[in-house]
Amino acid sequence: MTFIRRLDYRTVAWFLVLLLMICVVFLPLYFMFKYSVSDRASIITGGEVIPLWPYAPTLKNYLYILSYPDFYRAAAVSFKIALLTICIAMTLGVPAAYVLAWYDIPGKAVLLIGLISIRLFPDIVSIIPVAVIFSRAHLHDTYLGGALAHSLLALPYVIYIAMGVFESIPKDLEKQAEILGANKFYTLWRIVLPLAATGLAAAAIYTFLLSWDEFIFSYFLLGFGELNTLPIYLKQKMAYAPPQSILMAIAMLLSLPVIVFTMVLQKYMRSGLTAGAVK
Amino acid sequence: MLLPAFLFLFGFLVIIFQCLVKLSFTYVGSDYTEQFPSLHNYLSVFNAGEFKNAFINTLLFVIVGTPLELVAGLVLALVIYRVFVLRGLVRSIFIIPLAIPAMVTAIILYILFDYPNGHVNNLLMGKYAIFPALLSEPINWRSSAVSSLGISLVGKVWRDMPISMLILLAGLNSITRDQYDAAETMGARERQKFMYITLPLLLPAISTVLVIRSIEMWKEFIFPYFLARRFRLLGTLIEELYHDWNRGGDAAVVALILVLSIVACTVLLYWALKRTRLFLVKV
Amino acid sequence: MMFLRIALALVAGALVSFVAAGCGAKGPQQKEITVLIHMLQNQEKHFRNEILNPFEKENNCKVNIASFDKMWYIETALDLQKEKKNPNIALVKVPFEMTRVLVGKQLMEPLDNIVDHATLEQDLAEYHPLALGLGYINEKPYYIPRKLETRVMLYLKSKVQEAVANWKKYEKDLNKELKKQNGYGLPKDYALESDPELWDFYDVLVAGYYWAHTKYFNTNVFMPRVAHRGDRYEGTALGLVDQAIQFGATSDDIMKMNTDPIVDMFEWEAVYVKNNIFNPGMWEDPWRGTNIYEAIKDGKVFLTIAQQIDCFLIHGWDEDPEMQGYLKDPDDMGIATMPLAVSFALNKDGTYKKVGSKKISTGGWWWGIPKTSPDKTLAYKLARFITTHNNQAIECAKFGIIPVRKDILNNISGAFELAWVGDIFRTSVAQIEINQYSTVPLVKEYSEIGKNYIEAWYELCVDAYGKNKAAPVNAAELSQKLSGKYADIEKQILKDRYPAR
Repeated sequence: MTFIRRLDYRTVAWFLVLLLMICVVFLPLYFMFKYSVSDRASIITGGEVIPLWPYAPTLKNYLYILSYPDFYRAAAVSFKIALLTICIAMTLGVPAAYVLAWYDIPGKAVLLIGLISIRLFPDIVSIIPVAVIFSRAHLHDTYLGGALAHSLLALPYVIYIAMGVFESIPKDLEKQAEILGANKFYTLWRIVLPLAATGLAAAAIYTFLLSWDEFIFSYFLLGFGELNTLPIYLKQKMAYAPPQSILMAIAMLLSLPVIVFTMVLQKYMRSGLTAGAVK
Repeated sequence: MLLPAFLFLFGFLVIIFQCLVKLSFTYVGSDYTEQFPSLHNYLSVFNAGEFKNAFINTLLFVIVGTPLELVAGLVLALVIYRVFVLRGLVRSIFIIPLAIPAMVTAIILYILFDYPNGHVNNLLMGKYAIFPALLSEPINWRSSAVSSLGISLVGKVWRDMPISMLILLAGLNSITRDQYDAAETMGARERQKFMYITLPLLLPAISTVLVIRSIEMWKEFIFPYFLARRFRLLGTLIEELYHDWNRGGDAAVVALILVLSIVACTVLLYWALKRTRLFLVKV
Repeated sequence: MMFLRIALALVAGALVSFVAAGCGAKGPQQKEITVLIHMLQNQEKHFRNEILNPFEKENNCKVNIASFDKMWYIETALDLQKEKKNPNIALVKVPFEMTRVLVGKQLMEPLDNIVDHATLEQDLAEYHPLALGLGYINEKPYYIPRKLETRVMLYLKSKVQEAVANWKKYEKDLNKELKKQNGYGLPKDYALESDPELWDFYDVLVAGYYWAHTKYFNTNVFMPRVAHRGDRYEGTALGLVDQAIQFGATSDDIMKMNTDPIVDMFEWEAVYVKNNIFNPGMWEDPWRGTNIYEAIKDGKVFLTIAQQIDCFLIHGWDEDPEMQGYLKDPDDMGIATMPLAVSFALNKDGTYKKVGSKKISTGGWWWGIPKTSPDKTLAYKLARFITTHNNQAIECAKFGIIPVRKDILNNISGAFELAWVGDIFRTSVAQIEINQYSTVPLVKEYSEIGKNYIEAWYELCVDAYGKNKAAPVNAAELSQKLSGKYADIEKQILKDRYPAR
């Protein structure tokens, strides 16, 4: 009885919206999946209605892609660069955010605005000067170069997110630690960081996603050498108009690790996530 | 501790900006000699009708798109805000769009909204058993500015919903239960609660969403590149000048204007939000 | 907490290992070079296994492949090479459109700086003079030919048969409609040829008119089914310039942009737009190569102008899942040389006022050695190795590329691995033979000129007749607008090189 009574109109409305939004999220995913298991006849109809589910679903698109080493190689490169990007962006960004959040710095507002400015430039325009600098510094065609370039893109957001995380931690903690005789570094390392971990995980996820999908910077820094990331691999395949089935199978393979990665890390996200951006 | 990150960012900021300005004032003649400084690129960009159209399209794109991003994010955040059993799972599901490369999302929309044989047209024309026929003639989605840019917008909003959602969710979580309880004891209605508690307290989060999303809207390139080739935005125009005609100078001019527009728009937005905040506080 | 510690440990670990990897001595090694290419997936596989691998063995070196996506990236890539201490790109596959630009920007090494004069002369004598000639810039040899390329007409055999069988139903309508426009109607004694090899521009009009009056698959939509590229990029410009050449335009005509051949070309384009022969997707979507493939797949296009590579992609290789093609029945694809250019205007007795030709421009791909190449001699050797008689003959048989060697081009063997590859090959070679030495204007401003042609096409053909179907196409007005506006733009682009006469 109580259950039924609780089903008031607001709950029903909420539930419908929930279902609707899940559908909205899944609809494109469904088509991505559908095309990835399509056989030739379900795509090339010559003008007849394209079916909502392939006539003869097949896994051969996946098998085909996975039968060549290019894909694994690109995935490994992408993964390494993404991890390295997380490392670099966090090592640079977290201390900076800590300082910005807890100490009064003259001209803080200007600094904050300058921080985000690097994201105002369209990537295609900013890549050329960056590529020139990286080439001179011998960083082209290396993991480190790719990761540094991605860090450049991720860093502003990492700092913004981390700042919010630190601001949500009471400052008294530091004072108490000081009274107990801990130095600043020890406080940061043993007390503040553990508390901030959940929020910082969000920054890490964001960085990972950004690096995993990034194309333009990767292309000009790595694309002419031997290190190809997955987006470069996808773009190369696209240059010659592959069938939609192959394209979508690659897209599935490209997205799955990210989905898994987010699912695993989501428990770290909690509310700490992006609290920073709010401030 | 601040220094490494800032040196890194500002170093590149200065380099990029300087390079961009220099490129925009450099005119490469037909014999590949470079003239600097020259206003040639500026004149050629301003004289071409395509720039004006692209600018207007972009402006509309931003004006319509930014609030839409906010609404989509708000809906998701409010749905998730409620405590229920599979909340963690649903939240993960809502983050999925971010995991799909934008290029792929754009291609899927391209396939869906094809004319005359796309899934959407077929669905609306009753070609699939699951849905009644609503149209007798297919719609040519990509032939009009409104529908093609509209579809690009749908794609963009779909992909970026999770970011807005997460920011707003954090904002919602910072509102404590007792603030509502206090209001309820004072006899506040739902609408009043929303107007006087949720909205003002959520305003910082909303501002962040609006600012960050409007920047991305100005820069948007990938969705219109696939879905609205005929109706260019500044982002696609830069790409076209750069890649199809190798006119880096012209592209740099458009890019500079884009950056300036973003700055102007952000300042305006900040001002408007500040006024709103004052207004809400007063109420 | 654990997570963060692990992450920080990872940072340290990763940094240490990267520093270590960076400092680690690479040891004595073979020469390693990179070739920058743009090739079909299965061609690249062949290139890797059958050409690069033997070459590596023979010369004790390692050759890596890098691909470029857009042709302008070559320039960017080579600019970046200059900044690097150890540039890696030794050899570049350059499309015709880029050959002049790269030399103009001083990125390419002339071949006579690499090998001695006598050897070079002897080597280059093996190539067809057309391919070779285009590789010379300012009388210096810069490029080793790779393959030639041109356009042909691609159509669906079944649809052409249908049109040939049924066009008579519309003969009356056509005569009535055309009489308003050219004062006569269909040309005297007109009949739609059953073999597209014999078609002229009027035949395309008639077949297109018939197709435009057939319904699109189970809808009530009538849709024109003829198309060429229409997006604002160099592919569209090339199509327009080709058609002008068919009307006898010389390089000077193309640069002047207001002489008769140019007007004739724009007139036909306007006629096709006005009479609903062109699928409006061309400019509404607007279409590039891949979009046209998709359109063929969806039954939106039955006839188009295609490069060799388009033909291969549209047909597809059965056994290769990455190249499934775009036709329900790949055998339905037909290839013919370009339709004959005839003027839209007719004489009083219904004969053509002017008859042009099937001749269009030839382009292709060349091997170039950048100034920054780490080993120029080896790069030269590789370019030569790729085009040995044996290697090129195999590539022709397998992929139907148009050869650049005299001994193959002058002695085409009948042996093709697949019959349809042979079709494409033979038609393309026939087209090349018609083209002879005609090319697009070899000026550095060509890309700007192309842009101007596209702007003109959009204004004079698409915008003027795309929606408004009432007024007949007015050649005099076209000519006036070309002289008044677009020729002026040409003058601004070319300055003192604008042809005087």
